[in-house]
Amino acid sequence: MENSENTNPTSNNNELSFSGSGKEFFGIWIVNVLLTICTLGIYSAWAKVRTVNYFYGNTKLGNSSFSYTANPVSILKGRIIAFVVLMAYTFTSESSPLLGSLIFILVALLVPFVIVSSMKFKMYNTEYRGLRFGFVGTVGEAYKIFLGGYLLVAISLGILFPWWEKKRKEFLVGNIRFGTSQFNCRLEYGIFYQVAGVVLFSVILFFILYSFLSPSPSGSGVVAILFFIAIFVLSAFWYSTTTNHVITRSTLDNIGFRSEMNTGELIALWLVNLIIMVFSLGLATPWVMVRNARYRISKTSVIGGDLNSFLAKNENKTSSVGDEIGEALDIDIAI
Amino acid sequence: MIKKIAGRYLSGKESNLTNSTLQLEGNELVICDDAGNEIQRTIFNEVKISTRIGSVPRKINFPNFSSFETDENELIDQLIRSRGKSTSLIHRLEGKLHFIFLALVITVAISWAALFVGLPFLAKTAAEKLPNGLLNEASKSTLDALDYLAFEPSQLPRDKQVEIISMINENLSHSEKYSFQILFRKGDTIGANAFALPDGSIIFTDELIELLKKDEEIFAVFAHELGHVVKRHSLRQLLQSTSVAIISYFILGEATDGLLEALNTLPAFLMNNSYSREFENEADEYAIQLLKDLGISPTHLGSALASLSHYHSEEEGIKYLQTHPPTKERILRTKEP
Repeated sequence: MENSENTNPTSNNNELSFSGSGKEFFGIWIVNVLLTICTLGIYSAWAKVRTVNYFYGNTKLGNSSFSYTANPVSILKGRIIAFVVLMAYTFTSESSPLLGSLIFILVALLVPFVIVSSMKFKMYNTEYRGLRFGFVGTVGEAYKIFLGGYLLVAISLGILFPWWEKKRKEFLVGNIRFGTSQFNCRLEYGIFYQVAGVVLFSVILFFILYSFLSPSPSGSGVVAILFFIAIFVLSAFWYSTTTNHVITRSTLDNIGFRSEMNTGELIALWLVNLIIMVFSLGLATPWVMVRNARYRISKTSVIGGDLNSFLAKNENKTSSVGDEIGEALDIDIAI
Repeated sequence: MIKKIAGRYLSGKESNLTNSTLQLEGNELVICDDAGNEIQRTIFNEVKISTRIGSVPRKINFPNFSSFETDENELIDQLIRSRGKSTSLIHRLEGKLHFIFLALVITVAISWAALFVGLPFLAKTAAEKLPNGLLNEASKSTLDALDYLAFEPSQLPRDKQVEIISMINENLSHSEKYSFQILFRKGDTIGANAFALPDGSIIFTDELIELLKKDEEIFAVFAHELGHVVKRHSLRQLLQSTSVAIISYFILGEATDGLLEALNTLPAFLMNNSYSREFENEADEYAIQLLKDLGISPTHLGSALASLSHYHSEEEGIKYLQTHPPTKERILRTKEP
């Protein structure tokens, strides 16, 4: 029997935990890969739903877990489109650079639309405690931020890049809603400029070092290793600092969040991931995925507030708008 | 009679959960709260039960958008079976150690066969079907790029150039017609080398002509490059590398976090080198056959390769990181009867 104190709204039971295991997920992953290969990629959409559900379902918060309700057919449609465009682009960019760059520009112009559509799809299909998440960012705003922002960054020769990073994160997180409540995400420029400053400083330092060491033949080997280490450390620094900031500065009604990832720990995590991936020829993928999720979730906490008081958004389940979103295209895109 | 299954009831209207139990009564599913009060009663056939994935909590969705969540996967499966329905085959496979092992072996075998046999075969078939001039534009821009970045105009006397071209044409005169054109460039930092572009342009660097003393050696190198053109290696490499990049993105894409995304390009890099070595071997074979057909000893290709290897003071590297097969192996092949 479950403990009845979980229903007590005053108890602070907002503990976030991840219970997936690499061993268990390996079985799921290898069957996914096998069926994907045997069906020439078609099963990959069903595989994605199982995979996301494995990670969502093992993410527990306040005695309940998340679930992913996406229709694999919608995912398949998105993947077919992405595959055709990618194939057409890579092929034409070699055989006819002009046509290739034309396709590139067309795709780039569609990116903001695709981002909003994918976020809507992803959030609509994420469920917690019987309520759906949602994304309320508009396509117009996405064009302003992603395309307009990109142009400003280019014009400013990169000086506005940290500003752009902040704007994008605010747009993507601040427009998520859970039930009728919307996330609030107010970030500081300072953090993004500090992080960018450290990265820029390190790169300059690296080039100074490079000019000293490279003349000798053994020096170029040292430089290559240093370069690899520098990229590794800087990415971990960038990733942990910005992610911590975004999560810690987000709120949902009276609920707060905290992320306490540490650059050193992240370097250790990634280093082990890299080693096991290379030595297993990719077969360690499920362990790497579980390790990443476990680390991220162990460093994230939900503070205060009451998880029991959220309300479902009505139109969500009754009107056809929701269904349309659910059937909308999901095109995987790295943001 | 199946016992009560403990879990959480969710109204679908609010986010609070009610600890409750699920029970099958006849053909109806009944949910009661801890005090024993009935909350929900629905015909079994109208509910949707989520598929079992590992130890992920099960969800039973009712038509009125309420749902029941439970960790008792085994009891839910018993419930499904008791209604004469079958449980997920995929989940049963995912949990069986010998099936996982079998899946692993099959996956590795299929991947190997697809990468080393299937894909090269498909690319070859497709390359033969695709129009000849498909990569002409790309050839031009590649040559422009090389001219801009690496090459200098050839300093070889015009007489010498004409002499080499007529030597090659003379050697070929008794065989079938090939479409190619020979270009000369000063290699500069590239040094002694020869290149083939998909439109049939074969480029010799001045350094190569100076290095190779015998006409037969120059012709052997030409025959190797002609092999790349005739066998449409550029197009096949393009088709194969594009496919590998996309496949590895779809399979490994999910695992990579942050920096590890760069890992996605590693399989493509290793495979491209492997394909490239295969194409070099094919071009060597083509050259050896052509030389034999024309009554020229294939050992000239071997001696040309030896000179080139000596010129570039090659060191033995890790095979998998190289675009060309080891020179020793290549030379040995030219000596086979």
